[in-house]
Amino acid sequence: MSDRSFICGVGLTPFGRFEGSTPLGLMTAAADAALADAGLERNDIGGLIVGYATTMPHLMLANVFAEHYGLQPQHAHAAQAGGATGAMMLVLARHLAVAAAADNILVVAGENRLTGQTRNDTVKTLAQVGHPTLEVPTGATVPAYYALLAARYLHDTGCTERDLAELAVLMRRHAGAHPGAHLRAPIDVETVLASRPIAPPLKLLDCCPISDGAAAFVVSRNAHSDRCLPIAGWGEAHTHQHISSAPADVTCGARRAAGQALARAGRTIADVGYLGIYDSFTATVAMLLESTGFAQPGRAGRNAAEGRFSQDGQYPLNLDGGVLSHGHCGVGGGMAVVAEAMAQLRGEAGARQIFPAPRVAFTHVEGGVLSAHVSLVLEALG
Amino acid sequence: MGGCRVLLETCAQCGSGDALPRGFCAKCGSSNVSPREVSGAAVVWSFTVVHRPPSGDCSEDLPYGIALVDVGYGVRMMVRVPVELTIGQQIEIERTDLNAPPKFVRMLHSD
Repeated sequence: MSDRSFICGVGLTPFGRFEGSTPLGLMTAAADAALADAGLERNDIGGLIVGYATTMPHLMLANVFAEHYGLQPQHAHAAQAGGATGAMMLVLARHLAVAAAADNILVVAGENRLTGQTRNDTVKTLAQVGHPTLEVPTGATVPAYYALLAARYLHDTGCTERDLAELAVLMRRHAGAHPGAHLRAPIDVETVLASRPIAPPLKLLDCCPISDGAAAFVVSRNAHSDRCLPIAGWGEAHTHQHISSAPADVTCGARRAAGQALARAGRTIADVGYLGIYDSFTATVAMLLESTGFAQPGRAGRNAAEGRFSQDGQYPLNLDGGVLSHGHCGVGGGMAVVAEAMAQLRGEAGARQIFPAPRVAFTHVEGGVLSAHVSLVLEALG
Repeated sequence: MGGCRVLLETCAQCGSGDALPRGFCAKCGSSNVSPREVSGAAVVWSFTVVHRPPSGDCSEDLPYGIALVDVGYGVRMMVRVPVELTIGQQIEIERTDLNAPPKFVRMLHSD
């Protein structure tokens, strides 16, 4: 039995404010694009994995989408692991493909997170990742949970808020070259530092926006063309749910998942030519870059200022603008991180393209409060 | 040291403590657990201030501090605190209900 699997198609809607959009409508648009990209038809799809949508809570979202989209797959299920869901669905699709449970698996998620509910409802819904009796009653929010990590990170490493701001500036600069990005107007460090406090040390521009949007992939047992990308390595770690119960080394899950993914791919970080790292907050991407080994402790922000993560740097990072600026529509936001890695590996990223195109990409996303971690190593074919 | 106490659930089998009353020990699986009070002296592991509340319910309190603090048995808990606090600072907290966060009592002088 072959243990090979490939991402053969990717589809991404623009991210932003789309009044009147619906979860199923956005998912349909992304699925259409992914199927067209893979050169497949609906009846080629044997497996379906659908990410949750906060604007459309449902016990059976995969069946709902299958019915809506006109699929009758042999396997369908809905998945949820917060921001890590998209990459986790790719891992699951990989397992289905390798097990020959389906030849082609559609992975899709999307929602109208910005326009489908009030901002208050979104903030309140997201805060529920905290513990219902021990954390939520304090009045904490997701930015506050991350701010607690960020404050400790700054305290331990000597990194400064100004250093973190460099990551926000870089992501905005990258988003400027992506026509589908939510936030594209350039910002500078002073603007980030002067933005209103949300939960210090995190200010508004340290935080990703809430977006409407969707993303989809097709994972297959066989490569139909040289645009198909092998899933060369994957790794997961689930260390806790609530920040109060995090391990003493709060980012150890990222390190474990990354180590597994690179080992399975037979790669080291020196082989990596593109980085897609989840950046819900500036501090998130700083901590993840450092725990996965792509920056020294406390250095990620300064490395960004020095050009290490720029298009022409040693480790080009989130050239779509990351979720900080490309946007965050929930599960689809984490998927966009992987979608840009695909564009770069295929040499199809247009103005954002790295030359020569990278051969190996490393992506890492996390969900909860550094709770669920998924790393992927994707490679160019051949 | 302050006199306030913090209620935890502790395990007679492996000696670990837990903020949550699970009825069993999440470390070793033993069901030989019972409530136990530890000192209310807590060390601030991290601290932030909420300027944007999770719902209208908390709006009138804005801004307010949130801290993660360490107490006995290596237990870390979230607590609502004043807006002026620093990492490493000692505070006194009180907790009498295993199904609720502790309450802030007062600042303690750091050593």
